[in-house]
Amino acid sequence: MLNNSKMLNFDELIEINPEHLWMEFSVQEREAAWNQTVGHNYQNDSATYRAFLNSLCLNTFVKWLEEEPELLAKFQIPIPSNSLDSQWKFVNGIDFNLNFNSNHARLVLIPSEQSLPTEFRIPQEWVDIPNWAANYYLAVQLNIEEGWLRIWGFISHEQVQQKAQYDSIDRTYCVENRDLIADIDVLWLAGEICPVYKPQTKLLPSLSEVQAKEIIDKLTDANAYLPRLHVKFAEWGAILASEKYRSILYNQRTKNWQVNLMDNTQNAVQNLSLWFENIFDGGFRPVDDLFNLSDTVTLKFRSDSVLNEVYVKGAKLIDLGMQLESNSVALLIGLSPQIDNKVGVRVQLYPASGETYLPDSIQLALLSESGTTLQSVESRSYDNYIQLKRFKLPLGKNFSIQVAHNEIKIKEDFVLEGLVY
Amino acid sequence: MLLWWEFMFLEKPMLVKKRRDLIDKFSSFICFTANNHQIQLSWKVDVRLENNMKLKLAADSEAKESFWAQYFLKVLLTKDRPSNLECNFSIAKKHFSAYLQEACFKAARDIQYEFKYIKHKYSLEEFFQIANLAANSPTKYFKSFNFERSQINIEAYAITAFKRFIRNQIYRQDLEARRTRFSGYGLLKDLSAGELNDALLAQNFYTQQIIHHRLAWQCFCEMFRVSPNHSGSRSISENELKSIADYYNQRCSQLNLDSLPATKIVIQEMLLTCINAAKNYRNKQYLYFEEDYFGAFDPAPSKWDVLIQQEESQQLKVILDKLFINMPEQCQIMFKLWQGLNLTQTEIAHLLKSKYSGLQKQYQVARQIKKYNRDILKKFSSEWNQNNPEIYINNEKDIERIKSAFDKYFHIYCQQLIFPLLDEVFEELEDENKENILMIQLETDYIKDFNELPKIITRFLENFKYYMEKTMYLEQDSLSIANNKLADVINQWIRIKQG
Repeated sequence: MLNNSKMLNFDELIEINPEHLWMEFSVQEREAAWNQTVGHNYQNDSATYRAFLNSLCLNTFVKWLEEEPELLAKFQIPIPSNSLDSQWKFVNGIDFNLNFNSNHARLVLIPSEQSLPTEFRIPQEWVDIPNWAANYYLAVQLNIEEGWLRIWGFISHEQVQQKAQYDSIDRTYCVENRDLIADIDVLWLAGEICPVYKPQTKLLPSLSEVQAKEIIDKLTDANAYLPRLHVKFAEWGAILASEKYRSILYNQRTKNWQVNLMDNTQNAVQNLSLWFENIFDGGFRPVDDLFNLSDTVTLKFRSDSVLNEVYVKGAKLIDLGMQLESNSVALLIGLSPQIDNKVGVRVQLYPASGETYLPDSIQLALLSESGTTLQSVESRSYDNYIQLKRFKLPLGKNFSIQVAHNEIKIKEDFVLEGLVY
Repeated sequence: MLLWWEFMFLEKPMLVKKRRDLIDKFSSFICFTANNHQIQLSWKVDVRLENNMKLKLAADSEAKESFWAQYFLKVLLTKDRPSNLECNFSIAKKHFSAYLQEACFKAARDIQYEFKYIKHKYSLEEFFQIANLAANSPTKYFKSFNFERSQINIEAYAITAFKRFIRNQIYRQDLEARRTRFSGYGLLKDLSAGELNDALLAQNFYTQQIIHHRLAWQCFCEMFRVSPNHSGSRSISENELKSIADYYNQRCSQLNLDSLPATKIVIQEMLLTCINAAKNYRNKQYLYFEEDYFGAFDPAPSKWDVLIQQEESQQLKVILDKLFINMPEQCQIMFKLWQGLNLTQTEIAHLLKSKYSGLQKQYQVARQIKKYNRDILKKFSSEWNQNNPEIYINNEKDIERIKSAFDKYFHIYCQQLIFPLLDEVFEELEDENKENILMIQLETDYIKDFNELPKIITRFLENFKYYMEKTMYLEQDSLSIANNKLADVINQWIRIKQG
């Protein structure tokens, strides 16, 4: 029988696993992280402890980075903030943005306390929410009692999609030890040498304000012990993906909910000029990224004779009712610059989620900046798609596109500030 | 003051002479005995094996050592052997194990030398016994031995495999020691979902039962907290069980699992079942040492391995020559010491701390080496991409493969940087001494008393050391701490000279 004398101390552990990244923290640093966390009044012990582990992990990692000036210069260190603390209330993990030469990359540290690193569990949020997804995931083991942590491996988003098993019980992607790269130096080199691509994710549905309110109400219910598992992932992900809803959730301003909504009814205006630089925001994506659409729809949009001359195409998935998942539709917008310094705009609406037809009586409308309907079209039974008449847009002019079905109305605001292409 | 060979003598455990006789090589075993608190090593002959070997040699007196080693290994690796040959198998295993005694010892010695810290926890004998476990399971640890690759002999293969095995076992024993400190609930918290799943599967649970137990366990993990100072030793309260039960019921309905609402008694039963399953599973795991934590040994060579081997003398060397000479002096010195002379990072810190203020401790050396290593590999990769656009380095998996192949090559490259210095020392010798030097093989592991060494060797080594110190601007005689490693390099150089 073996005994505790065979337990290795910090130096010995490094000898056995020299390729891992080892860091120490003192009792004082541990206490400081704890005091910092308990001051935040989290809703339960579980959330407090998660925030403590993450905070300790972040502090220790940053302390380590500070002694690696070349690496430190590439990192954008998250500034301690309420939003970071609130994030740990809900999800385990710390995200970093970094710049490798001209490559922008994101990496997420996922801390855990388990002593046998046979598997690495990545919360689904970090993989499937488009603006949360990272390029690399780093597995961190903390030993609170002995005062050390180690990064024992990493894996890219692409490899997670290929190798991980999805576990619906805790909504994680589970990767086997052997699929991780243990040598963390490989990560720093990969960032420098290899192209870094934006992680490919599926689109999440956009929520109407009514839907968002219902979901946030459920999430802030005192019985929702672990909110991330309390509602469907698509709903949860859509809340986290939206800065506005996320912030409401984080602040748990349920009482002021109505006021908040009034304050925020004006969505962020999408600047279409950026589309020409391949920069998409607010849930819009280049059409080619839109995996949710059936191939035929994408093909149709691509080969549309009117759209052939289209210079740039963006699309967004819109959900019209969370109860019926088949009610997703895809809003596609094509832009083609004209010689008179205007841009021709084509707007179409397609069924998504593999459906062939649009729901009945769905309305697509072009609104002026003041909200007047300029033109609109409504679907009948068995419409494969509907579209607005092509219109020309002068620079600097604001307009909105509205999709409406029964009581649900979703409005997207746009402006074209200038043309650089 | 101690002379350099006395240093070597202190560092080395004693071992009786290396076996020379072919019969001995396949029939004797190393024996550790304690005498007046002093460990003594001796060879103990197994008479049955000795007789068997005599018979075999009488039948085939021409066959050499390597033939017999391969012969026994082939017997051991034969699949579907008839039952009447079981006896042959068992005796072949013993012969093979006897043959690998030096490899076991060498692996144990290397590990003891490499692991400055761990060696205080494990004795040489323990390392040796662990290596022997692997030597006694040839079907497992030699199954990927390639008889076609003539440049790799069985002994060299065994040393690498045994070292990996020892490392593995130390790691697993550490984990087991950690786990045994946990009481039931502490152990449960330390499990991974995958382990719990396997543990329940091993108890023949149905899928549905496993899901319910995993869910109960997951709710427990969320709700049960231990403070850092009392890890693993507290029991669970009634209130906690109640909260876990409530949360469990909530999760069941969220996941649409068909089940009656669980009471706290039901939850406690499920958790106890998980604890028992985990304990059984854990004991079984550690008993058989099945899992190879550090990955499969000797995987098929990657395309980078093949390329780097093929290109060894040409393109790679050209790229590296250009790169290395342009690296800072500190980098060149560190790599010559680390990769060229195999010095440990602690030894490097000791040698360089007066020269470089930033290299006082082992961890500072480790960091600096890692940084330079990244720089070199980065420059190397971009040169490579320019010269070989058809095999472009595309992602982190490519980097992992190329780094592993590159590290192997770079080690050889750094050793070769040392050889011209030995050539110079050699050229300064008188002709007759040149001949004498080339006749020698320093058996650094087995020499009992370095006073027995010929004077010429002492002089050769001293001169080599002097030149090394001079070219690297080190203090005079500072390299004495690594005399045995200098001797190893001389050995390699002599082997190459001997052709």
